Formats: sequence, C-alpha cells, structure tokens
Amino acid sequence: MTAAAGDRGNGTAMEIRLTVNDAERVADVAPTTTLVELLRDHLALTGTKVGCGHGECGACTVILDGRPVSACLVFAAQCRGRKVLTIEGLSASGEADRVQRAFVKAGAVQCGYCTPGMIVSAYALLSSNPRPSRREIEEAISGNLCRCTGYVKIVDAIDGASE
Amino acid sequence: MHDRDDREMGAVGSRLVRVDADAKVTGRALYVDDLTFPGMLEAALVLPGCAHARLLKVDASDALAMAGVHAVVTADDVPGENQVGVVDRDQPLLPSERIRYSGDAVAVVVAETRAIAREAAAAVRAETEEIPAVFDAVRAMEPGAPKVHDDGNVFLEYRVRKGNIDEGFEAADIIVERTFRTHHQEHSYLEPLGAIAVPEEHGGVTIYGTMQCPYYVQKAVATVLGLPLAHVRVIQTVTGGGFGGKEDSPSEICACAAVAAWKLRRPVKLIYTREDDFYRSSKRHPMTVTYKLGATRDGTFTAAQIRVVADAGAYSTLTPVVVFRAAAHATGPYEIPNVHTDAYGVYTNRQTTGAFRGFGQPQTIFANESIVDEVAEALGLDPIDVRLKNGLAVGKRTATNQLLTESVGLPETLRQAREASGWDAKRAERGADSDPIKRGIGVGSIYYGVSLGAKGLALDGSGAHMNVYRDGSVRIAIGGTEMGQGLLTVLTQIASDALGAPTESIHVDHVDTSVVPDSGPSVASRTTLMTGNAIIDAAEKLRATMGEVASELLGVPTGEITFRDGRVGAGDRSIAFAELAAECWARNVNTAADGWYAAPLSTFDEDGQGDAYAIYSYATHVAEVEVDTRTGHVRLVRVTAAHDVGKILNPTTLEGQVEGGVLQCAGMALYERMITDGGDILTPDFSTYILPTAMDVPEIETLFIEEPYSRGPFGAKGIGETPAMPGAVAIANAIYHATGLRFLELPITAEAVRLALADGRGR
Repeated sequence: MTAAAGDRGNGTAMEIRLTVNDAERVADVAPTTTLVELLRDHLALTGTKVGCGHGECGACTVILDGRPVSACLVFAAQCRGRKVLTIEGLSASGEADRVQRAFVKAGAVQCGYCTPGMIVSAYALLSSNPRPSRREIEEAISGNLCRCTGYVKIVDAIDGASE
Repeated sequence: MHDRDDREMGAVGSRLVRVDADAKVTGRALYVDDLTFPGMLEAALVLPGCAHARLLKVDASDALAMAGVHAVVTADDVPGENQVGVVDRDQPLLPSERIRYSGDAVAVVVAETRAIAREAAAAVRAETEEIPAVFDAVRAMEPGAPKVHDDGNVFLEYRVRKGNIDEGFEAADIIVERTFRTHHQEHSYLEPLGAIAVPEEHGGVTIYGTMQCPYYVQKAVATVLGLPLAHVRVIQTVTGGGFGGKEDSPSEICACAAVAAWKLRRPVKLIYTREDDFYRSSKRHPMTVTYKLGATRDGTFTAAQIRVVADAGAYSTLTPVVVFRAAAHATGPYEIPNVHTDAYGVYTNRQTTGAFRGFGQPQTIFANESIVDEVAEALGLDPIDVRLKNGLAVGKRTATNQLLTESVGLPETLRQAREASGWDAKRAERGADSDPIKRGIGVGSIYYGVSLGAKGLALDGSGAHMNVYRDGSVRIAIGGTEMGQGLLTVLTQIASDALGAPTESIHVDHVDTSVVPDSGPSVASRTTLMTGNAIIDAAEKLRATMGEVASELLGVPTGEITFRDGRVGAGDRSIAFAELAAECWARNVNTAADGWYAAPLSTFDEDGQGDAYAIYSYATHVAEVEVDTRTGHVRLVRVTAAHDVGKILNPTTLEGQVEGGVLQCAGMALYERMITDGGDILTPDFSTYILPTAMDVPEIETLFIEEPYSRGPFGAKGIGETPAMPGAVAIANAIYHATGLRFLELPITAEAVRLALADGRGR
C-alpha cells in the first residue's frame, strides 16, 4: 500500500488490524495517522467527512466500540483490535438504516456534509436511549454542527426514528 | 402545512423527497475531497500572515529539500495573467511584490501527500518588510490613511437621490438619527473550500471543486493559465454549503490548483484547512451605517438620509455588486418620498468580503429596522402598524422610484406574522419588575431584489440542456448549482410538470461547463427562477417536436395535445410519454433541446433611479426572546417567519431554507463575532467562532404567502437570501422590548447585554 494523503512521510509505518463495519481490515499507517485518515485514505470509506480537523464540528463522527467519537481526534494506532462503525456500515446490507430513512423522509438533509456524522451521532443515541426526549436529542447532536437546516428537521428525523 | 396530492396537482407544490437525499445519508455522495485521480499530488498554501508588507523574496530551499516535495509554485509560474479579480482587476492570484492582507498566499507547495505539503508550506520562508496597515473602513477613508492600493482606499461610490430631503425633513414632526455597526460574519459552510485540477491530453484542464459559480472559476482558470475558455472545463462536485461564501473564493483555490497542475502536468488537489478557510474566504462585509429618518405624527415617513461604509478588505472581489444592492435597498421596504443615500466601498488590510445570504442588506436592515422601531416608539405607535402604513405594496414606489406592479407580499407577511405570533397580546405584556428574566417580542421586515439587477445585466441569462432518451427517461444539464438548498429537487419538479414526465424518470446533473452555456452565478436567489425558466423553455421546444409526432400517431391536431402525468394526447386518445419517446427515436426525430432564459432589463442611473431589479421577494420575522438580566444571556424562544415566495414549489425544501436562515440570523444577532488583532484572526475555528447548535434552536413557525410573479416558473420568486435577512434585527428589537436596551452593534453577546445593564442603561 502506498502512503495515503494524510500520512506523514517521515513516520515509521506500522501494521494494524481492526474491525470496520463488521469486516476485518489491515492497514499500514504512520504513528500520526488519524482514524479519519485511515478510513478515508486507506480504506476508501469516504462517507466520513472532515469539516475542521479539530474535533469541533462533528462531521467525522464514527462509533468506536459502541461510543461516538470524532475520528479526527483518534489515532489510527489507538484502534488496533477495536471495532469501528461508520456511515457506510449502517447500510452495509444494502438497505438504509431507520435513522437514514428518517432523515430522508423528514427532509433533514440539505448540503449533506454534516449528515453522515449527524446520523452516526443519532444512531449512537438511539442505541443507548431508544426513546429520547427532544431535549435529549438536541443535547446528543449538539457537537454536530449544521449550517443549512437550523436543525429543526434533523431533530424531527431522530424523533421519528426513535421507538 | 402545504401538503398536496401529487396526482391531482402535479409535481410542483408537492413535498417531493430530495433527489440527492439517499446518496447523502449513506455517505455515497462524492464531495471534492472524496475524489482521487491517478498520479494525483496534494497541495498546501504558504500564507506569510502579514497584514501589509512588501514581499522581498520567497525562499523555498528548505521546503524543496524535503522528501516528497515536488514543487513550490509562485507568481513566476503563472503562465497567463496573475489575476483573479471578479469585477475589478485588483487581485493577484499569488502576489509577487506586495501582500495586502493576512490571507494572501505567496506560494503553492505540491507534494506526495497532504501532510508533507502542509509541513513543507510551513518551511517556506517569505522575506517581507512590513508597511503601515489600516484595519477600519471609516479610518481608511480619512486623508493620510495608509493606502491599500495606490489609487486610494475609496474605490466605489453609489448614490440614490429621490425627491428633496431638505423638504422631507422640514415636513417631519420627528427625526431619529443613529449610527450602527456590524462585523465580519463567516459562512461556516461545513465543507471547506477544495479543488482538483487535472491536465487533459488535449492541452486543456478540467477542474473539480466545491463552488457556487463554475463559470467564474472557468474564467479565472483560463486567465491564469492563458487558455481559451473552451480548454477549461469545470465540473461542480457535490457542494457542502455555500451561503454566498462559494461565489468568489473558489476561483482563487481552483486557480492555485490549476497553476500547480499545469507546471507539474499532474492532477493536483488543494483542500483548505478550516483555518485557511477563515483566513482566505470572503466574509460578510462589516458596515457602518448612519440612518436618519423623518416622520410625521401619524407615522408617515417623509425623508431618509443614509450613509453606508462597507469594509471591502484587501481586494474588491464582489464589493461593487454588494454595495450596489445595499444602496438600492438601504431605506428598507418602505415608500419614502425623499431619499438621499451614499454608499461607499473601501479597501482595508483585512479579510476580503463578498457575498453572504442577503448580500449587503442585513447590515443596512439592522439600521433601518432599528430606526423604524425607534420612530414608532417616539410617536407612541405600534411597530407593525408603522410598517404597514409605509410598507411597499402594488402601486407604490421604491427608493429608486420603481413602480411596483405585481407580486408584493409585504403587507400580507406583516399581517400573518402578527396574527400567528400573537403579537398584539405579547407586545402589551409587561412582566413583573422583580422577575430577572425579561421577555420581549420584536419585528423585522425586508425586501430583496431577486437576481442580479441593473449591475449584473451581462451575467443574467441561464441555460439548460434537456435530453429525452428512447425509453422516456430524461437527463437535464443545467448551469445553476445545487449547494444544499434543494435546487436539483425543485428543478426535477418543474421539469416533470413542464414535460408531463414522471419525476422518477428525470435526472438533473450538477454543472459541467462544457455542456451548458455560461449561466451566470448561483447567487441572489436567482437559480430556481432562471434555471427553472430555462428548463421550461427547453420543455416547450420538446413538447412542440414530440407533439407533432403524437399528433400524427393519434390523429389529433397538435393544438389539442397536452403532456400530463406521463401521458401525451387529447381526451381518451393518448400515448405514454415513454412510448412517444421511442416513436420519436424510430423516426429520427431530435428529442434533445436547449432552453434559455434572460432576465428583463433593469436600470439604475447615476442618481440611483430606475427599475433596479425585475422583481422583489418580501419577508417579515417576529422574534421572541427571554433576557436573563443576571447573566446577560439572551434565549431566542420563538420565531415566526413569513415569506412571500411567489409560489411554493416544494414546502419541505422551502421550510428548510427558512429554518436554516432563521438560525443564521440568530448567529449574526447573538453569537458570531470574528475577532481580529491586526492581521491575526483570533477566532479561526469553531471553538472560538461560535455557531448556533441544536441546543440554541427556537420554536420556528414558517408561513408562506403566494403572490405569484408573472415571469417566474409557475409564479415562483427566489427564497435563497430572504430567510437570513430580517431575523437579526427582529431579535435586536425584541431585546429592546424586553430590556429597553437599544444596541447599535451586532452581535449582542451576553457580555454586551450584561455590560450595558451594569452601566445602568435599559429600563
């Protein structure tokens, strides 16, 4: 594997194994490679977006061992042997997840750049709290910035996807 | 709710699900940074960070010595003209002698990976000699201020002269005058700017990028490479938000990638960091607006005198058109017989400023709608009554003396917002003095000239290319851009009804400049109107040619043939659209057509008189706030947003536009402040530049008024800008109602409220 876009040329490559969307994956990464670089540049999972690179916007949210994280703040090497779920994993069977369907139905998508991270945050919320209040929904996605929608239809969608 | 039955009413007006939603929720949608090309290199920019300096030397030796670095591209490598100015030719792509603001880039570093490119960019040394800088537009107008460009800092002046203001103020019983200030607002689209340039074997280049205006990019790239336009192909990738911020700035980043790709003959990708984006992308203009309004005792406005000073930053980019719009609309949506407006565009050594939803108007609106409230209060009148009394209506005249003849929904937006918000009761309410939480309700009204108006005539045509295949499926190429607003969806609806073909058989593509002629920019709430009309034009041509074949097949005169709900014919003699397409193919009949729409002529003479825009959109927002007098915190509780849109094309996308705009208004009013220190931006990220989150969302009620526009597609006018315009001042007016604090500067942060209360201001 060639050095991918995000890697530094001066790091020592290391091989890591991890589970991504229920599949075993192997990659050679540098010590400074982040999880989002691993996903996007090594594994071609470009559904996870980068909006700031500092853990401020939430666009790169993925689920690491059951918990939502900003993939730009986690080193790839920290994910050795762990389980990562990305936006692609929610519809791996070819069928969209109910959260994804709810976003489509509610008109919660505009430019779409925040959407994967937003959906992953919502999925994480509903996994731990199947019937959240609107306030709980707002809190759960308060780390995911959206500049298009005013969040109204996003909260509607998550509300609609809850049990 | 505006739900309709698709079957009965056609696609237009229905809640058709966004055509791009599936791709976006699954992560399949490909934005520019998701694309890669064989042999592609990555680039990063060198920003010396000086506010104003002579550039003596760019020393790239350390960077070039780093492993994986391919080139350091400077002004010397620009094969064509080193120039990316949109309107004025005042902006070098890569300055070679003089740095005018901290966002100026002096080199593009190209390397094997992004990380190497960024590391190498930090190793490039620019030798500079600082020269005096100016950071305030009002000060930049003074004699002796440092000159940003040699011809002087005031590069632009518009005036509006109507009636006689001396007589107008003479006739007034009350005159209120104040000066208001607003600051930079960052678009904060979630997808940063990005571009890929791919050299083509025929000698040209193809550009992929996130953008609102592919034809601007095409011209900029052709200029810097010295190529004919025909050799520059621009393909818009899925675009993660624009709001005006991707009107001018993409030309710069695409041209940087193009020059690098040209030198190395390899594809080059350049993606901005968020910090790059803060430093280099155009913002909302800081403005200083002095507004003087006279009125008689009954609340009739007699005269307005307005002075607008707009901080253009280091280069003019879109300032000439932004300030035109500000000048034309500066009175607000009122008929005032005597108007005297002066508006200036001024260079400073700050970030460039350009388009942001509202395009120069939200700043003047903050002034005029604050003053209208002050006049109402001084006269003991209700603010909505005063707006209704003076507000534009059919038969009234704007500040440019334009007679309004149709589609003026302003009075209805005021009436409906008043009723839905419970204005009268809430306005009269007075909470207990002992309650530290003060409640208030405020209003703001606006008008907005749709499309480019008198200062954009050459750009104001748009095209579409419609191709019907032999199975009846339809593919449409357009010249307007989807940036998140829902364009592809509403155009699918327009095409469906215009052609009588089902929505699911229609696919509309993002822009490719090699297919559709220059269609101008996707700005100014013009794209649905312009591209929608171009699609209708193409569909009319296809109905004519395909209708002749249907006429022959069915034995029905062409004049009686209709295209509706996937069938073509008259009465009980009809044929499926798809069958007709196959029949046309079998007979070698052309089933592709080009559509075009050009805006009607508009005028604006040197005294600012004329029909400045063909048509206007109108809106009123009512905001309700709770102000905690202990902390200064303002909670936005509820917003009622009433919009005259001409015709509802899709209620869901329309609500989305309005809800997003309401929150951008809240950001402008309460949170968003770009703080600078000389050339340094102290808030270049989302930890320090505060955007509203899901926890800041008020209850939002959207109301749509349909006053059809005779030349709009199905009667529709634009919606892109207006939701982001009246809300900020409505919040400021609500804060005044709650506390008695009249703020003359935005944003009204908790600190500002607390300090004002501590000063003993307010009630």
